[in-house]
Amino acid sequence: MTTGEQINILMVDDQPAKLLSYEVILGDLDLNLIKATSGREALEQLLKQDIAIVLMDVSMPEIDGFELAALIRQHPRYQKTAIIFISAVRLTELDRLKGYESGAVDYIPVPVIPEILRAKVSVFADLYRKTRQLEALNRDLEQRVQERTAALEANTAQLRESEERFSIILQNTSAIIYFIDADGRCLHVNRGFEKLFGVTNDEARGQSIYTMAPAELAAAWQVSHAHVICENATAEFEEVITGPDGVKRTYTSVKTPLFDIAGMPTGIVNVSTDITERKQAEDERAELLRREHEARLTAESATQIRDDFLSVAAHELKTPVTGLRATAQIIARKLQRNDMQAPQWLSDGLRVIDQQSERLTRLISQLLDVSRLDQQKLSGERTLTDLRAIAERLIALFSARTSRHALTLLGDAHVKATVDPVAIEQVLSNLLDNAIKYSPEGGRIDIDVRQIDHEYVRLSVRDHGIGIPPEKRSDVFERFYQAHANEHRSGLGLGLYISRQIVESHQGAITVEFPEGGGARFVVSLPVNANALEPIAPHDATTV
Amino acid sequence: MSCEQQPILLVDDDEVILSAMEILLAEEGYSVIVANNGKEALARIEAQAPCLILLDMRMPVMDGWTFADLYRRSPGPHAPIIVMTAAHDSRTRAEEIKADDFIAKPFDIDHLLELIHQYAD
Repeated sequence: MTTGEQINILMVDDQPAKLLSYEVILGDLDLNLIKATSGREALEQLLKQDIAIVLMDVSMPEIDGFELAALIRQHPRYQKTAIIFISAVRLTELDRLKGYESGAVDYIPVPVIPEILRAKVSVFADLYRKTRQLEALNRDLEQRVQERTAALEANTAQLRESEERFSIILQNTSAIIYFIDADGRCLHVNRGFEKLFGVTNDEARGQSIYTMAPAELAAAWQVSHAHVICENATAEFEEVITGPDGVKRTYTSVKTPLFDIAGMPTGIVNVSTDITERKQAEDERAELLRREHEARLTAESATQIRDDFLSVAAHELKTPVTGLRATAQIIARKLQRNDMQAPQWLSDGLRVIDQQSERLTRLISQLLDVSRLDQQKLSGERTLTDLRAIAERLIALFSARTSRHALTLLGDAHVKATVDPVAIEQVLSNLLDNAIKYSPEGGRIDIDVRQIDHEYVRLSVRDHGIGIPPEKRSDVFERFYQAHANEHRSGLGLGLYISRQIVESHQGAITVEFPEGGGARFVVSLPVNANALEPIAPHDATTV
Repeated sequence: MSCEQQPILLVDDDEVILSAMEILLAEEGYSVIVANNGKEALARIEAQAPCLILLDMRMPVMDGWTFADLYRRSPGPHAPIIVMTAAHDSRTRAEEIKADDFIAKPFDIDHLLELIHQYAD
């Protein structure tokens, strides 16, 4: 609606002169003046446009003013249209006027006084304008109310939906949830809380939460809640709560402060999750780790004790053997030196004592070696070593011990490699010992020491003895293994095992072959410089 | 330092070994003094400086390590030391006390004599 909207006034009179005079009188009222010279013409105009005021002469031919007014009033659009009659006053007519009192109706007597006509039309025009404004305002207001109502309803629906979802979560979660105010009074507790503390939400509401828990827990709550309110920040606590079944369970409780609009804390929402199983698993894991650690320490200390024992035992065993051997050797030496004619049995007996004490020494050393092997520290420092010199020395030593065997050194004049000389001498010594032991009938023993290429050297010991039965060949390098345990029981079955460990620690390999013509040939391959090679993983299986 | 005028000192807690070696070295014409442990050895040295010391390591009262340490701190001249040990790695023991040589127990007497001649003559 615009206030500048034209207000239409319909003037009806059968006399054009009168219409003209009204036009003059109302000309400066800012109204749209429409003229009609008959009732029919007036009705046509009324149908064509919206008319605010009808000014009409009562006495007109065809349809008079009253009849026209009645027709106008029948139309719903014009039921409240202002009608001003112009007429000479007659009593009968005044009575008829009363029928229109409900509508806005006025009467102007003839002769028309221009000021009165102008005043009355102005009032009705103003009334019309105000009414229209009011109607527009009402419509606008109504629309706004409707819009607002719709929005509110939508909001409410959303809120309800959100609340329902929230409620579903609250009631169905396994967590223990409660809302309390700053003084600890319950605002809401969920089903988890109800079950755990045996109190319903309705019973709990308004009650202090500290009356619902055992004293110890209540005291812990008071401390943690005070902390959350004070710090005004979410915090996590571990709580142990005894359930209705009497079982203690561990919870992790996240407590978050609630605020009012000003940001002041008004309460706390608490969400407790049962972590008993997780905690148990953690504890079990820690316990397991602790036990494992303990077991390892025990094992390490047991190994240490064993090694210390073996070391002391070896020392203690070797000491009497030293005395024994030295004494036997000295006696033999005296006999020889003083050129005494000792009986054969005495010389033989002294040689047996010497040999057996030497064997005893080897057995003691092997025992110690095996315990050291377990700690991987058998091999000592490596230096550039003449392997042929080692072989020569050993051949001299072993030749003195046997008359039935012919030990022959073959191969190259100089064969050098960077090895632990003590360990490699032990390997060759073990191989020679076996060669003699397993060729009881005597025969040739060939020791071959040679350079294979610029990277590898090879030591081999070939005997012509009893060899090893095919079914037992795969195990010869195993610990405590003896291929001829029944017939030739001697030693601990550790020699080849120790030899293999030493050779492999040098990144070498030890193998055994069984040549045509009997006996066995043990072959040791060693890198010229093991230090320059990448270490390789030790083998589990035998290298045969 | 000569073993013609000075004795060889044998230090070992095992009487059998001591007496066997004493007999052996006497036969070879050496003069020999013996001690059952490091402490005794230091006392013997105080009385008479040896030309060579044959030293066991593991002994009661005072072991070979302590003896060697104290002996080397004493005013010189110092006789060479040959370590005799039943330990697995005699060479390491010898290196530990900076000995001149070593021999593993039980030893071959020919080997032992060879070693002694090397230092004594």
